Amino acid sequence: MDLEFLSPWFLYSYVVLLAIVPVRVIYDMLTGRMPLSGLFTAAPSPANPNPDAIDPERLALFGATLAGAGYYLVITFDQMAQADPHLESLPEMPQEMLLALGLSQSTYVTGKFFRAFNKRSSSE
Amino acid sequence: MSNGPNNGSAPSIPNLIVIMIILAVICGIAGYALHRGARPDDIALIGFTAFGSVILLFAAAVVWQLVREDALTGIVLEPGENPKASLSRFQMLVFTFVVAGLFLMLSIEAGDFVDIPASVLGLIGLSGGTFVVSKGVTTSVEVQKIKTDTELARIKANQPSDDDTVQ
Repeated sequence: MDLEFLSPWFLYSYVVLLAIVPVRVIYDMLTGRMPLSGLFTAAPSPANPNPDAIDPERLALFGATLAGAGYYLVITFDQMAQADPHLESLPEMPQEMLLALGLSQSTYVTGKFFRAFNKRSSSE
Repeated sequence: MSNGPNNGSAPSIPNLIVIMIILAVICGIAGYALHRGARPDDIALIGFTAFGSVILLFAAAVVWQLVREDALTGIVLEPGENPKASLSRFQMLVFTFVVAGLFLMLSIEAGDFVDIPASVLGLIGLSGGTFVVSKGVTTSVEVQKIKTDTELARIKANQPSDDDTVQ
C-alpha cells in the first residue's frame, strides 16, 4: 500500500497520539504513581518466607529485556544511518540475542512454575 | 446491573445535536461533490479525510480516557489482593513499544509499510508467550488459594457444603 497517498497531518497526529501513551507510562513510573515494587521479588506467601528477597531469574530477565531492547534500537538506528535511501524492513534480531532472551524468559517461567508448585504442596 | 445515566436510554439532546451536525456535514460534502461532478481523486481524498478523522478521533478518545483516568498506572501491575508489579507485563510492554515505535518510524520514513522479519515476530511471540504462561501460573495459584481458604473456612465453621444448603 502506498502511504504517500495519506495526508501528513494524519500520520503525524497519529504518531503524537501514540507517543502520549509511553510518555505517560514513563512519567508514572518516575513519579511513583505506577508502583514498581515487587518487580524483582515473588509474591508473599506461606511458601515464600522472605518476600523481600530478590529472585535472580527476575533480575536476569530484566537485564536481558533492557539489553535486548537497547541492542535492537542500536542496530536499527545504525542501519538507518547507512541505508540508501531508506530501510525496506525492520532489521533482523540476531539469533544469539533471541536465544539469550528465550533462555532468560524460560528460566523466569520455570522459577515461577516451581514456586507455584511449592505453594500448592505447602498448602495441601 | 448498574443504572448509569445513559444505560439503555435514548441519546441526550446535546448528543443528538452533535450527531445531527456530523450527518449534516457528511451530507453537505456529498452534495457538494455530486454538484461539482467530483472526480475519483476528490472522492478518495474526501473519503480518506472523513474516515481518517474518525479513526484519529477514536484514538484520541481512547488515549484521553487512558491518560485522564489514570488507567495506565495498572499496566504493569498484577491485579489481586496485593497488587504487585509484574516482570512479564513489563518486558512485553518494553518490546511492544520498541518494535511498534520503530515500525511506525520506518514506515513513515519509507512512505510504505516496512517488512517485519520472522526473528522480530518471534521476539514479540516470545514475550507474549511468557506473559500468557506467567498469567496462567498466577491464576492457577490464586484459584487454588481460594479453594483452600474456602475449604478451611468450611471446616472451621463446621458447616455443610454449599451444595447441601442450596434448595
